[in-house]
Amino acid sequence: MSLEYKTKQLADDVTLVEVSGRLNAVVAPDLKEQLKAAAKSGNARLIVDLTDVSFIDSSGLAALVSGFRAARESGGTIKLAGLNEQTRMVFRITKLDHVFEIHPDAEDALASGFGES
Amino acid sequence: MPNKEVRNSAGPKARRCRLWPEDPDARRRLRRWGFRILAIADVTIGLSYIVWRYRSSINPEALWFALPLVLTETYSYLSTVVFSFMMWKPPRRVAPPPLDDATVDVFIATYNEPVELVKLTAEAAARMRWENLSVYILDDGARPAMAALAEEIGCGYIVRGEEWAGKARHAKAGNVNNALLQTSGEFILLLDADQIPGPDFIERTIGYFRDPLLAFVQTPQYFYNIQPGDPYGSASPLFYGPILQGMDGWNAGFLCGSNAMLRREALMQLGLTGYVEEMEQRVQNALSGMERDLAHIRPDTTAQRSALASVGQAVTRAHRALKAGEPLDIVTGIVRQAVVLAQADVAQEDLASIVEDLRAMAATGDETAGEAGKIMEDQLSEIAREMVGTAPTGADAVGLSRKAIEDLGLTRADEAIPVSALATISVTEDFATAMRLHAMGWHSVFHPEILAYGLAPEDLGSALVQRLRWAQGTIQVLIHENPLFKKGLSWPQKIQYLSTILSYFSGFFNVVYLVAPVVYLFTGISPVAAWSTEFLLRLLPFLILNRVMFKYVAWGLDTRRGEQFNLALFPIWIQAVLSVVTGAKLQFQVTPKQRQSGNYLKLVWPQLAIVVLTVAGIARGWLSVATGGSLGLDGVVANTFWGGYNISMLLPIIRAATYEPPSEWEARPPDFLFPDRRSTGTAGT
Repeated sequence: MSLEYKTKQLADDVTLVEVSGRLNAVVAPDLKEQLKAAAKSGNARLIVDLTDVSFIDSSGLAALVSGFRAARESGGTIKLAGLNEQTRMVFRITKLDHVFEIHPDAEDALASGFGES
Repeated sequence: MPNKEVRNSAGPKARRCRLWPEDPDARRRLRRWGFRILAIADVTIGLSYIVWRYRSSINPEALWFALPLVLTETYSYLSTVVFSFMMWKPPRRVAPPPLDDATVDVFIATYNEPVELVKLTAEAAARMRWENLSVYILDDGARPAMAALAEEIGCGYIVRGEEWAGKARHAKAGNVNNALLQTSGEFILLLDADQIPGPDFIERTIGYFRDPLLAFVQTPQYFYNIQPGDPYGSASPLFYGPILQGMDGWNAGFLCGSNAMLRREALMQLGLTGYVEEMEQRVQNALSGMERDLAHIRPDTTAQRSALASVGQAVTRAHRALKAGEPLDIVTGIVRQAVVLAQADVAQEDLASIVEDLRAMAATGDETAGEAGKIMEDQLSEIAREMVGTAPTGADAVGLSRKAIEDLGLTRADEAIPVSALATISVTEDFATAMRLHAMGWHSVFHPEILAYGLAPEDLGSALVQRLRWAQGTIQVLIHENPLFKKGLSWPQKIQYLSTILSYFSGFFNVVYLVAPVVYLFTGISPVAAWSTEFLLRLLPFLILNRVMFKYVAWGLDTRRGEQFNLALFPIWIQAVLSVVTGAKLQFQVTPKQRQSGNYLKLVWPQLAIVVLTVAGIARGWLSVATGGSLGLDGVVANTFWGGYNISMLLPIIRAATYEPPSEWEARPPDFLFPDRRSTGTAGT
């Protein structure tokens, strides 16, 4: 099992990351590295679209947190979009919905703006 | 195949009795009820004794002496009550059939242990019967020889990455947390470097995880290198048997750092909620700190004044957003954005005043200054923005603390990895981790079968260092996360955790028990109103029943050394409490597994001093009786017994200070662990 990870440049230096499949411990290290690399190469304003993610476990969440941290360190942030029922639930259980900004879809996330920094 | 005698941690005595039923469940019920009757009797008689002590037998002429003693007795009585409660309903654990298809990662944590020692453990781990098995050596010493060993065995090798440079390492907890982010097995078998697992470790423990809420299965620690007579009290059969079984009955078992199977999902979830809670706390603190700071800053210029005002408004808005449950990303964004804008305004005003100065210089004929001023004026806002870019936190421009702004970054910049599954608040990571898992609603199991074989410290110095660390780590948890106020814990869990922590405060009370007879025998001052027959008639039933209950719980296990050390280690317990309360910096000390030879008498001088004083006191007491002095016979007899008991409890640790193992003695792990081995093997010595 490997990570499916696609990126697309949107307006305003915002990068859309489309991930699909199961975000579990097996793909988590890879996801973490990809997000970190994106943040460090100057694409620190990220929207991670989880529409095609069927399942996330805590390891997958931890990878998102590591990416989030890297993005914030580079002056950007990560916004999430397109969560299904299961993925929304794990965000609620771990209270990570208190940390991440979560949007229904990528357009909405983009429209919410990424601030000045 | 394994020798059954070694593997059974419970005592074999009772099985020969004819009245004893064959059915294990019936046996367990009978044993439980036996205990409950004893416990109720003990607690009741103890209560009547303690009440009588307070009401009728305190010596009013010497309250300075009488009160500490009666308080100490109260502490002992309450310990008995808690112990009875703890042992109320131990479950019978029978290994369920193994789960199919589970993936298991074995983590062997090492820092400075010799390669040969880790080799025994890693090879045995790789030999365990399990299909989807990955073994990792977690080498916190990053030693080339260890990397070579991993390659030779064909197991994984994990060291800390560059993200750890300059950050707190958090000892073993940090080592494991680091490995968790680089591996993917559903279950993790945690082993210390010296704990050699038997071939069936996983098969015997993994079946319990059918319970989807089970976070960990702890098994006993068994030490194959205990020297004849267990001089350092390492075996702890009572703890790794009845006590953990009792706690298991309340779903309050401990995690002991090694020989445990854990569910990755539980650990990661713990790490994530911990991250969120800490971030919320930090943001809350940062916002409050900013409000305080802003109230004190006196702005010099108009730009600063308006900058401060807009930051102030942003902080208020952020506070409101936080209360309304908005995501921290949004909450912190409000303030961060305001700070950046304010910073740009301030920079722009600063630059404008520079332009003024340059203009003035131009007016006096300085052409270069004039030109520079013109350029600056033309590009004022671009330069201001660039200046802001060179001071990314923006703290200085508005006079706020950098720490506060950093905390709003949500990066946990002081930690190497944002998500730490194993708790890092204490030098005993396992105790705090188990407590947090229980608070989140996870379950635990203590499986009382010896499945791994390890090493205990082989000299008194190392043994004491280990005890001190356990004590300090456990007390630290009280300071950082008092179980009494921990949300999510059940009352029995709160009682278990709290009583474990408070048991380390016994050092102060032990001193009272040890010193009281000395005081009486030297001064004739008595802590009780009279050494009367009534006193004995009230005390003895309680003491005897207490003894019987304890022996019943031990069920044939040899617990003498543990009892002796509990009392005799009072200097360690006191040192632990004082060091934590005074906030002395604590280090995770890796317990040496090789014998550090030497004479350790200087480590036991307090015990030695009490023995000498007690002997002198007894001699003086009897001299006084013989010569018709001030001491009464009843008091001298009672205190001779009391002092004699104290001496018998203290002598073993004094002997341990000069202990040398017999020359022919050597530590040998059980042969069944090594199917290929023909000759006898040695390890760790």
